[in-house]
Amino acid sequence: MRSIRDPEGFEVKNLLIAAEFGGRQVLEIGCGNGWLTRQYAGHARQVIGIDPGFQDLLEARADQPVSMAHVTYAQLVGENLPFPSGSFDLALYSNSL
Amino acid sequence: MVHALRETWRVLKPGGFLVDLRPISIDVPLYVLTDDGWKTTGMPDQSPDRVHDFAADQATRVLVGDGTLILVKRRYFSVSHYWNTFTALKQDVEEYWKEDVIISPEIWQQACQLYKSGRGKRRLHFPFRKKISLYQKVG
Repeated sequence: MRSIRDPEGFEVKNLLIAAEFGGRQVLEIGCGNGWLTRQYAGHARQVIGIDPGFQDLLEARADQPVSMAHVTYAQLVGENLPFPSGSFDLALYSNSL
Repeated sequence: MVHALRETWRVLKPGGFLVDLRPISIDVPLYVLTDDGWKTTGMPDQSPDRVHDFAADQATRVLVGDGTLILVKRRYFSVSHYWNTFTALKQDVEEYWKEDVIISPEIWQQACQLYKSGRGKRRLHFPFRKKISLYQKVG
């Protein structure tokens, strides 16, 4: 995208108002290039971002700050998740439902 | 979508939360911002994307209807996108929103005229509407 997206930070502000991330294990479905992930991940205990797009995930990993070692990305689709039942406190559909 | 939601439900802990954050296809104006203030160019048509809104709403309603999720809260807000050049806006629309947003020739012309005639720093501004819904897993 060539646009300057949400410089006011309204998306993450509204996300953090809507849901409690503190200490939680989060699954983000449709994380894309991690643009939103990087903004809220500091509040969560663990984040797994999934997306079917390989190129987006490469960008997400490349842009990941060193301080966010608790964030991992995987190339997966939401219809078939390789996680045991009851793994996450919170699932986020990030512009993907 | 319903299948994906049920799979998400499965991997949530009992009492866990599901957040559905997404744009909604409500028509909003495209603005041109200059040192003199802002001017609207008219409303791009977002109706082609409403079928996706409807499908996503229907899918969540299925899980709420069968008692596996409860809606805890919902908020609406705007997220702004800004472009420093008219060309960049056109490229983004062509590349990312071609299927979802129709910008009529009249709106393009108006935007181009306002952009070219504007003083000082000029930007184009499109404030997308978004919806965030918080659901809790039952069971």
